[in-house]
Amino acid sequence: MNKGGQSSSTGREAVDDRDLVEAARRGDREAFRTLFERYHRRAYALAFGVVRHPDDALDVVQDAFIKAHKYLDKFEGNSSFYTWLYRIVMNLAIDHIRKHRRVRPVELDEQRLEDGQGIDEGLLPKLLGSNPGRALMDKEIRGRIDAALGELSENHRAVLVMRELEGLSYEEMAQAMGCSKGTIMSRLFHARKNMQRRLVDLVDHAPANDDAAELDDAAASGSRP
Amino acid sequence: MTGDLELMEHADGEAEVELTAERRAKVEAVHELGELVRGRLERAADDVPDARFGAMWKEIDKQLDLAATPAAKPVGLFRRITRAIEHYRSHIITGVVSAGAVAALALVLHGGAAKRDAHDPIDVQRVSHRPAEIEDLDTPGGTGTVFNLDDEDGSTTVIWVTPEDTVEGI
Repeated sequence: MNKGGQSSSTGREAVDDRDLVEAARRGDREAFRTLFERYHRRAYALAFGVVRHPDDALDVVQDAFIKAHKYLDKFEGNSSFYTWLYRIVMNLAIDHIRKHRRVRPVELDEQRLEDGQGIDEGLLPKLLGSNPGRALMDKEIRGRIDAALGELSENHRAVLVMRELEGLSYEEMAQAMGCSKGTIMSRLFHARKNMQRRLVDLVDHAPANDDAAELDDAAASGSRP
Repeated sequence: MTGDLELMEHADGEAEVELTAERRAKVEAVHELGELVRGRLERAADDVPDARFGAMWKEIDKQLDLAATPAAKPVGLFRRITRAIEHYRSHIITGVVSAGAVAALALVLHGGAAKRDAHDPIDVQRVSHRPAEIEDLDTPGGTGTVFNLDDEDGSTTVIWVTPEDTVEGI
């Protein structure tokens, strides 16, 4: 993916995000447009990962940029503009699916935590052979990945997307989602496990045991094991 | 403890563990899954035509323009009352003029009767000090009010007819 989206026609490619934010705050619409052009596709990928519908994802991105512009004065500059933006995108995306869902997916890990149970399988040792890039060329596999993502609860999917797309640390995700680091680890672990399980026929090796019970204890206590 | 959780932390760069061949395979699987998810989402973003984002920017630009337009100043209570009066002003004037005309007519009629009473008492035969009792007042399209005025000249009856639209207007 072109991280910057389409190229800017304003000749501001080299301008720092902070300078663009400052200019946008002063009413420079072109500066804000440059920020839009830099990040709209990244924002879209993030939104699509959560809402899983192209038109809904576009709506989320549009709303996110409008909201970002509205609250530019509240952007303190402690993080990058995109870090701030993706939080807006993520919040809007999660709000969107909560408003439009008909059946709430059960979060297996949290349910089992309540039941005091563990899980019976862990991370799979191998997935899709050794060439994921080639696998992505296969339309059927893309469809299966979409379906597997769709089977996750919104919280699991959000954590997985934030981690894999943005590379956020556990601590950053905990802050973004307003929960403990242990809960983030639990959600991420189970999201990955469920994804692997749904793509199990593409796996080269048999599943291995894990120490998921310990993981669940850690999530329950809100701390690292 | 070196379970799958620690392997996941290792894969995510949150912790360091020693890797055997089996553990290394699991870590690689985590990376592969991440690559699949990332690749799938980035490809989905690449599949969106530039025109869609172009249209999106136009809509954002439009929305920002709308947001920048000062909102209409809230209308105060006094202004709303003034507007209501302005709206019904013609009805009020009509009502006041009509009522005034009726009142003036009643006073003129009463004045003529009093004069006639003074200069030609033969023509008047007072049978009672009370005015004639009105049994029925038909005022189509309006409201009728009857006043009985008693003074040294005797009793006077004033019929005040108010057009209906004056009442509705207020």
